[in-house]
Amino acid sequence: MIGSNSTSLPKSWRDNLTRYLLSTSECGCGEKSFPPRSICGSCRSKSSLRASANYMKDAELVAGSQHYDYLGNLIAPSFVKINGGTDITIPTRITDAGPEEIEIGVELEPTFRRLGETSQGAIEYATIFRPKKNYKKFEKRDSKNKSEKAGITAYGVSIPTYRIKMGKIAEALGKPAGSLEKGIGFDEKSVPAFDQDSLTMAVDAARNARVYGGIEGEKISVIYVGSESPPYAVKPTAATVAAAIEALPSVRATDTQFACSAAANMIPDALAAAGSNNTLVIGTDNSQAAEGDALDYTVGAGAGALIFGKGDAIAVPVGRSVSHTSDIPDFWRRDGAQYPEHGGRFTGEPAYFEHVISAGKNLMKELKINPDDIDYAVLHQPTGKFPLAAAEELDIDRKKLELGFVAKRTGNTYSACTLIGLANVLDHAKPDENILHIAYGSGATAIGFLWKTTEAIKEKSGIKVEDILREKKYVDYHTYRRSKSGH
Amino acid sequence: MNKPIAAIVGAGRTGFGEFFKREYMSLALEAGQKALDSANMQTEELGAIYGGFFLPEITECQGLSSSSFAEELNINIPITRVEAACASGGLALYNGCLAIQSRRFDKVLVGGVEKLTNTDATSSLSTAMSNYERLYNFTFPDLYASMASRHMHDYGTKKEQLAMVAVKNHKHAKDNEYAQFRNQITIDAVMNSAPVSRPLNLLDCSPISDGAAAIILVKPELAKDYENAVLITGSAYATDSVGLYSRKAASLGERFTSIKVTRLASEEALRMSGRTLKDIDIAEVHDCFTIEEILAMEDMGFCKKGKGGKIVEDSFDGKSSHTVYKTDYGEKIFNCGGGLKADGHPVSATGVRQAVECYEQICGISDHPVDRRLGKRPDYAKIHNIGGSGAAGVVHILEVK
Repeated sequence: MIGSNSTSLPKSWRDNLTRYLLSTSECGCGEKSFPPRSICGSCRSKSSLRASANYMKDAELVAGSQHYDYLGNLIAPSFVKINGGTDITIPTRITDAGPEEIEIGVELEPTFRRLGETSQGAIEYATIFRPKKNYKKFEKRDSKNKSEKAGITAYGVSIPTYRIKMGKIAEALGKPAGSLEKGIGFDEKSVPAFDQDSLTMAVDAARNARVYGGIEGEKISVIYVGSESPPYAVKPTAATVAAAIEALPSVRATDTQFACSAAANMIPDALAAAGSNNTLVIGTDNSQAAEGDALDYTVGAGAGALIFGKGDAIAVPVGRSVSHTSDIPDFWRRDGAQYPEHGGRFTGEPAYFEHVISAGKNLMKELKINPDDIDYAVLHQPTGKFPLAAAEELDIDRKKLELGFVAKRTGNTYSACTLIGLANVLDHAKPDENILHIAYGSGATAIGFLWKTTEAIKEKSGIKVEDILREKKYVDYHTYRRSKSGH
Repeated sequence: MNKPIAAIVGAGRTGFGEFFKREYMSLALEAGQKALDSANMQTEELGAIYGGFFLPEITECQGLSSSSFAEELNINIPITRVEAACASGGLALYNGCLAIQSRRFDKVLVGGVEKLTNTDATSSLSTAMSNYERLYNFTFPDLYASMASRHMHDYGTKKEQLAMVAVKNHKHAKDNEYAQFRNQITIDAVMNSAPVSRPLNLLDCSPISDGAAAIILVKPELAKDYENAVLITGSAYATDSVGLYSRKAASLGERFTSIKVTRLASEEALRMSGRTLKDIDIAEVHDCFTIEEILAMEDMGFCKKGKGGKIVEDSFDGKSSHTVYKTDYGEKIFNCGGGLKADGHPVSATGVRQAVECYEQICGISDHPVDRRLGKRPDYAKIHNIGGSGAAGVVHILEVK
């Protein structure tokens, strides 16, 4: 439950960067402080203070507490010691944890979350901690393979820890067991923690991409955040993302919206803008669904981030992207409405299939390739059945869809869907392979890309999507509904 | 004995509890008038008033609360509101002592009042923690739970030992007509009460209370003119970081298991009084949560760090009268009237209520005397009042005239 901290707006704003970056100061005399000071608390020096950011460092719990809010969320305000030689103790809150995990000595990792609200209702975000996951990380990149073409230089995803099984949703809604799972084609879907939203997942995905790509925040000159579920109707998510990855202030940061294609539509622009500086595209969604609606089964939560640049791309576009657009009301959410509406089966043939298949066929035609030239395909996944049927029309072997079909385990993550699928493919791909990537956004457009992997993909770094998918905890329907709406 | 600082010659208090029908002014006036009456003194004799009041801006929407008493009493003397969160009452007493010591005033009234039921107490009280602690959703129980969990981790202190503090303090409140909780509880009841913040349960926590307390201070040479007078020989106040996490400590663990202001104020107050821990018969300690009574015992030096829980356990008895702690400096009774846990904790009234308690015990006019258990009337008392999670500490030494 996100409570009001009754903090005044300017006061909260002044602390933004301290909360996002876990800024501390260290004086030449050895005194360390959180929050950072302008005068040393020990030797009173004003000149020998050096500020540093700790938001990517792990930590250890040194004294913890835990209470439940009235909705049943475990709130665990705790004190932690930041690792990495800082030797500084800070207050924080532990999240994504069960009661047995709030123990002295527990290893923690940072994550971006909602904390509370100012007295006027502005959301307060912060980097807090959760129990450290057992991720196997790729080695840090140190690319010697230089390409002159702009392409994907790094990628990262954020998928919530929590899941709900399709069967649990059916059971809660009084549907016979097994009646829907087959039709939907998903096993389970991701559920955000009560303190996650599309913005927090965007930050975590961007941080994963940036850090494991070895890219400094200040080298990111453009940020696009595509989403249909931003926490604010008006106030850009991209500005908060920029602040949280140290990309301020000369960055051009923009939010975009085109249903599930909001992020993918910006990839051509991000590629064009990538030069000596990097550009970042994030697709993120925590979309809402009315209770019992078909979307209640399918809508997941997650974020995918792609960083584009020149020099050490792991995958480069072949030719240009191909779009297929029409004006069709297959899915929408009216201004002020809580839940989207959709056309049921109308979302299929004239909408998803018409656009995805056209974009795919036109792309192959333009690039003069045939389905056999494609090694992997990542098609948008509103259900499990749709991409399979579209692939069949495109004459693409369904085996080529498997790695990109992450929605089977996360549900449809909307703007993030094909970016997460692409990330999983990149985790596994070898040099010189072709990846067909078609995103679809209701309303409607499909945009198709052909990515070709480079030699540099052998040196990819970061957390494997598969490991993130494996670290999960199951929740019941009630908890899913509550935390999905941010309570 | 060193030179006394001041003498307490009158004391009064209200009952503590949830008084939805009463205003803070009515509570303050009741306590103040009782104190004046007990000293047989007129309001007009007072040179100044020092009053602890933590949250008037929040609970009453009233700044300048000091002058609200001038309005009510139709007086124009200097009235000073002091604030150090839960140590506001102790700090008012400290300021009253300074006023007498300075020779500026001969007679002052020291009071404390709080009206916690006017508001959402949890969030209001949270203003006494650091901004960053509040931001990360800490409540006061969370802060003390952090300390308790670390104390249990580092020293093997048991949850049962915490529960014994609560059981003992409810027992001490049994005959205290002003106490909020005079019911008797068991270790099982504490252990099985609702979890508030692990490891603290509901019955490990002091309650949300309304109430007021007041005492009359005069310069020491006037003490002989009053029937019941108790001398103040030590008065000390120490401060530290508001945030628990940023306090300087010898070790990481000690930051959470030791409250430095308790040690500093305690040492200074004893030094001023010329007394030692051995002299002390009774102590009022700030048991806002059960763990804090144990921390206070250790930090005041009654036992070594980490041994407080064992003393509580070894001293625990089924006797119907007061429980005596067998400390390294002899037998002492802590929180004679039930402490914050059972007597109640109307924040700013607490520090003054502690002085009322010791005054009445030393004068032999308490309705719940410790004489039977101690075998004599207590001569020396120590008062320990803490603000926040240990950001302010006030200690006073009282002794028989």
